[in-house]
Amino acid sequence: MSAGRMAVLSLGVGASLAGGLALRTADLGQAPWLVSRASGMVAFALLSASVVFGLLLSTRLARRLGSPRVVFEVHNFLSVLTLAFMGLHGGALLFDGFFAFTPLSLLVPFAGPYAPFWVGLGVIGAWLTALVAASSWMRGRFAYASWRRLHYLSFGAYVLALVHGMIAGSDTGLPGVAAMYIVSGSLVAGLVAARVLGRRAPAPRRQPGAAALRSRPERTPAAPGARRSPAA
Amino acid sequence: MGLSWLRVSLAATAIAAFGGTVVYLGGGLADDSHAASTGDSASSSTANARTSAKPKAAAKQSSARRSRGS
Repeated sequence: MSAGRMAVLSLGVGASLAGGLALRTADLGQAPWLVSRASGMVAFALLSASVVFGLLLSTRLARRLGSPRVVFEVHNFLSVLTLAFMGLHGGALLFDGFFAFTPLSLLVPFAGPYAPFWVGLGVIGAWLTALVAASSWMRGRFAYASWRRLHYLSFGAYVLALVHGMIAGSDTGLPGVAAMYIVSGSLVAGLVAARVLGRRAPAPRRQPGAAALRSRPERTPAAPGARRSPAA
Repeated sequence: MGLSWLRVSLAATAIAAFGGTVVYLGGGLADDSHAASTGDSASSSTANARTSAKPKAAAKQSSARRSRGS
């Protein structure tokens, strides 16, 4: 990293810390609480969409919908946006005048002042989401099987986020929010079922000789008197 | 051709959804504060109506009282 970029980064971090400290002493009213609730809902919607797009890729339904490359790109970028809104969801609570959240209570599960268990599940879900995203960014450094096993943690992150939102969330009773949880859960459960059932289904029967034809680099005219395969 | 347009669209949609949710919830809170001021808790539109009696402020006041010996 160049010295210029380092200086800009240091300035940005310093300004953020100073701004954060100044905001903590200010009375922001209900704004942090509003921001935290709204960003939590948006983060859950984005996580749901990311999981759905990931399942579309793994169930090969993405090919029917269009370009798998676009679906993959959407899946990836939604996870980045999810992390950003998760950060905003937790970070806004630091400025809330009602609950005394500290950085430690946001990073360590079950250490918060409000509904410690259910909020703790959300903290674990956020850590898992970050871990899965980081493993995808460093995918080249992992063996495919290891990366794949690690990627399964995203299902755990999704379930934890769903439970956290439904129980610790204060807006679950709103019709729109309840509908979001129901639609998201149904979509993910349906796609997981499609994936599991799709794997258990028997492989399509190949026509006799098809494998032999695929194994040949090129078809050459058969010599007179040579034995021909049934499909040839 | 890159897919930067896709990323910009997704980010813009997420930010718009966030802004819309803040405005929606802000309207709900305004109703709540009105309900709290009128003492009509049944008309509160959200389950988390928070009055001005904040626990953190209350804790500060009680600790100040303790230090003053009251």
